[in-house]
Amino acid sequence: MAKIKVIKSGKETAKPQNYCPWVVDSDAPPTSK
Amino acid sequence: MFNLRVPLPERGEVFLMNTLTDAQLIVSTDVAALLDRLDENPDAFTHQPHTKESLAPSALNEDDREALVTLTEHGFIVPSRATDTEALNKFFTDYREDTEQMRVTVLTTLQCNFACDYCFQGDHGDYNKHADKMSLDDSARLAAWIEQRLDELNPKRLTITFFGGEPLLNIPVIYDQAERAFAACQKRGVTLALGIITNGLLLSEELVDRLVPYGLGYVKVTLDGDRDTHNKMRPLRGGQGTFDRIIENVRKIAGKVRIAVGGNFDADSVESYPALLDFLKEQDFSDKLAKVAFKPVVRAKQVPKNIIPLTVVTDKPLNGTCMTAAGSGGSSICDTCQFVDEQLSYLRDETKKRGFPTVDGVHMGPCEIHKRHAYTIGPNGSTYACPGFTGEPTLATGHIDGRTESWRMSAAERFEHLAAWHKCGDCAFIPVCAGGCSVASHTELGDMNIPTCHKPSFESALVSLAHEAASAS
Repeated sequence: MAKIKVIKSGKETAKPQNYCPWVVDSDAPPTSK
Repeated sequence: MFNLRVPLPERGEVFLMNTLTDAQLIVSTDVAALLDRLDENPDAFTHQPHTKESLAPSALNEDDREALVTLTEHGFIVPSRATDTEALNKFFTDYREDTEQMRVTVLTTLQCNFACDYCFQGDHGDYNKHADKMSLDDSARLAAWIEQRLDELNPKRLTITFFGGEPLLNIPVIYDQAERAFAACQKRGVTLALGIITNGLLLSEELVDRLVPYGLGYVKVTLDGDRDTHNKMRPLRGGQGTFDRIIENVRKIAGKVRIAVGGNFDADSVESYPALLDFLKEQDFSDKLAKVAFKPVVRAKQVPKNIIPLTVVTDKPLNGTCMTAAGSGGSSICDTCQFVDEQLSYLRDETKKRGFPTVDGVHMGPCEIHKRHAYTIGPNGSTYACPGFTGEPTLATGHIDGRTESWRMSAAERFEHLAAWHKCGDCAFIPVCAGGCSVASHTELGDMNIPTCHKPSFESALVSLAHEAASAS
């Protein structure tokens, strides 16, 4: 029986934001929670 | 094109992720098999897009039809490859042109009180005598420039990150920028967020207390391994260790502001990180750490014989920027990438094991170099595409006074068309990688339009993400 559990919806428009993951900082800017 | 899957055999399920929509699902194996059937024969289920009405009841049972509708809604099924390509282009265009948030990285100075031998500044002698430092006059000009941008863009949020060199060697400019930006944002109804990326030596309660009312939400310090290793990797210019003082400073500000701990590892230091993590776990501020994440060191020029080079050795260091770490070279060129990717995964797992928040290793991009309204400002007012390029004055893309020398315009043009992912083929990680770090491509590979590939690291991070999602569900 087909079962689908949504962990994270693909319908949201806001996507993860990155600052400088490889050089000066490891991911998000200060505004991210 | 952007669908990824991780089998979860112990549960008889499969984790699905679409990197473009960021959808993450856990599905039964028959749903995954349905996707396979569709892959093998795209026309099998009549016309797309899949809606209940368009799906032929003769070919599918009710469950399958519902599953196809859900998969379509979350972006796992698209009408054609061209649709995917078009959506990817739109994704990058929207990301680039977004005006909701304006970001400014301010290099208050290129001077530094540390003498890390791996730092791209490289110069430890009388370097500080000549390194640029922003004056209060220039700071006022920068504030006026920021106000002008705010009026043009009308963003909801302004984020200012103080960086260097060591930004706390020029605290008056930090206070000046914070006060001026706060007033400008208050006047326009814009939310202001401030962050500091510092080596931690001059961090103080006074500094944090003064900046928190203006919106300081984040301080990042760097610890390169356990006490002994860190002191060797990040000494003062006189050679003295810095670990104890940084820890004391972090303890003093813990609870007042979010603290992130970073670290730059190489082949010699990587084994000392679990001891660092154990040490941090024992501290009374351990639950105040908002993020702990480590990255590989880029070593420029000559590499000592006892160190495995993590990158292609280059004679083009980006002098002037405290670019303490960057991604390694493309897999076809850099033969040590596998080492870096393995260590990235290893340290991520060790960090998670101790319960510290860390990066998931999948959502690593696009970084802010791909955003038009993310500006990096050098101490003399030059603008750059990202903090990693600030040590190469010839790559300045403009200036806050509006000067338009041809070399600046030509650099701006190069960054305008930056799209290394065009060379990544059908890689499903493009939306969360964007071809990797352009600074690493430029310094290691000599061409910022060549991708730096860390696919093995992404793949292992995806497996971790899948298992975490499964255990939480």
